[in-house]
Amino acid sequence: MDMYSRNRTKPVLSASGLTVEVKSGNDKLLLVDSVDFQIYGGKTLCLVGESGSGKSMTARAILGLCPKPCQSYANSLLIEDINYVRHKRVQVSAVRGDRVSLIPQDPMGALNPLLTIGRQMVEGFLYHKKGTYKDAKSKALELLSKVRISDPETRFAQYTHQLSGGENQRVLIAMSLMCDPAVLIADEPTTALDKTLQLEILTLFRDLQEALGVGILFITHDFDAVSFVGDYVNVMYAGQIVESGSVTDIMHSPAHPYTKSLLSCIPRLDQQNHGKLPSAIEGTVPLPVSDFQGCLFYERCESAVDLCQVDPIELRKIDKERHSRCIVDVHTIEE
Amino acid sequence: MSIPLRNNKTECAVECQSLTKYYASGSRIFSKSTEVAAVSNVSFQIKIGACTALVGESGSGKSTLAKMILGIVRPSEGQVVLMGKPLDLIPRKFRAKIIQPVFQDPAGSLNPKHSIQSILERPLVVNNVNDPYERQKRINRILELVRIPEHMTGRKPSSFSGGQQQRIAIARALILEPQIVVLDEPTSALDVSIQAQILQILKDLQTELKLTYLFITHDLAVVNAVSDEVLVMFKGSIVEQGATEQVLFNPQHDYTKVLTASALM
Repeated sequence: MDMYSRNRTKPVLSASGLTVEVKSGNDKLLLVDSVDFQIYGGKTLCLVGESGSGKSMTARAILGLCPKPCQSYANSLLIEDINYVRHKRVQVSAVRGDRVSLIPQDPMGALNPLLTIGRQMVEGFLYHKKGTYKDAKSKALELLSKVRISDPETRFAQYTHQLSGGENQRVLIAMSLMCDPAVLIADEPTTALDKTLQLEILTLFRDLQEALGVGILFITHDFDAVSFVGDYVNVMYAGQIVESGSVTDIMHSPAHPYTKSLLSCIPRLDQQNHGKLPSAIEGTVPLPVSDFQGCLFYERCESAVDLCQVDPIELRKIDKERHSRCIVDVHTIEE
Repeated sequence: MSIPLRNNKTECAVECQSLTKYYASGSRIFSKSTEVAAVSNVSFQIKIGACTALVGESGSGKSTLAKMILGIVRPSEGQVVLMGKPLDLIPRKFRAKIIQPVFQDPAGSLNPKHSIQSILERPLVVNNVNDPYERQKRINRILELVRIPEHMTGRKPSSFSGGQQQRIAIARALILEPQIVVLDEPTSALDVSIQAQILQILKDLQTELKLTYLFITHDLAVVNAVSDEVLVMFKGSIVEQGATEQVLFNPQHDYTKVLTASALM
């Protein structure tokens, strides 16, 4: 399919019932608890949450890269309308790096210091597209200039230590685009970078998604980044999606109490908030054991009622494109 | 609490007098090395009990300045005065009771092979707190302040979360009851929710123990929340300093203007 004429209203990736579990003693921990989401072409879906909420595990489950003791299951995982789930197992390895590719967090750790940038870039292309080296090289050079790396010819023959951190991250972005993927999974791509570099990389993401029409799953805990690149947001807490909706809705009128508390943790740079500490969420994240009853956020929630502890809470629709996993009425909280 | 070297007349916890640090660069065996000024002619004062933020981009000399104040790096020119005494005249052993650092990466600053108990006890042993009951009392008190449950002291740092590790690092810095704490990006490796917790604890500790903070960060929103005064560093010198509100919302220097504008992206 031509990458410029991709249908932008149909989801390029749609996951349903994505679950990651791990045994711990006699308990089963649900690191990711039947998560459903869609990623649309040319749009960015942000996955936000504290560390340990299961964001990265979700990404790994999509790629079939969960570490050893963890088991991942799914009901279906459609990438461009092809289902990659067989017998509840995600089997995506044939198209990993091709239709769906990953941009890891730490650029230095992801690149091999003993191979040239070019060698690492063409590898995936040669494997998946079965093209010639010449094609691969010209593709790599094209992408390197697209991610605004100066003098791609020279860079192509250089090693990672000759490039700065920001440049290495750009190389990884270019590398992930080698096979014209339908979906990009970016796992905290800016966390390891300086503030000024972060802005550059985020701008690059926005431009690329516009130009190429790829769907991006952007994993982060930085709400600045979310409001900069995101179209939709899924907020995760203890392995569950607790709220989903558009960026403007979630950033300006969060419905779930957890999203509210999380947003109030961000220190604000304006005069009214001078000298005011951001409010912290009391307590800790509970272990997501599989037979947990009721709401996982109950202990730390300010608007909790007794009913919250009784049944597992379902994600329910509260607006046109918004879902929240809370039984307390949204409007009563706001009053 | 014994304060052996405190000069009662002083109001300044930290005073830097035209500090300069040169680093040799491009040194070869036969060619002469050139000198680069990482910090050049920096003077400022921090009042006792205040929280002063030091902001600037990476490479601006923030860390070098902090190291000079901590006595880890000797300044090429100028001097540091802590609690009214020149740093050079304070014996190393007493320095630890005056000034302590907390670093960015909590996992990297705690020994993974030691239990929390021994991490916190070691500074006390080194500094001649010989009574084991006294040591335990102080450990328990400091753990209570940073909200780590007492029964967890037998564990190694790896069994704690990032936020808890940072709180342990803060506890270790405070166990000798210093008056000044240099916080080098203490929250930039942490989530926003954990960051809020740590900032809260730091603020509580400051009022509880009457600490003076030098808070190094590049996050202006954090500066706005915690600090009384701001020093803006650019290319090795301080380009602007003053009350937080003034510097952040009415910047005078061009670089500060760029910095505050880029933070509001």
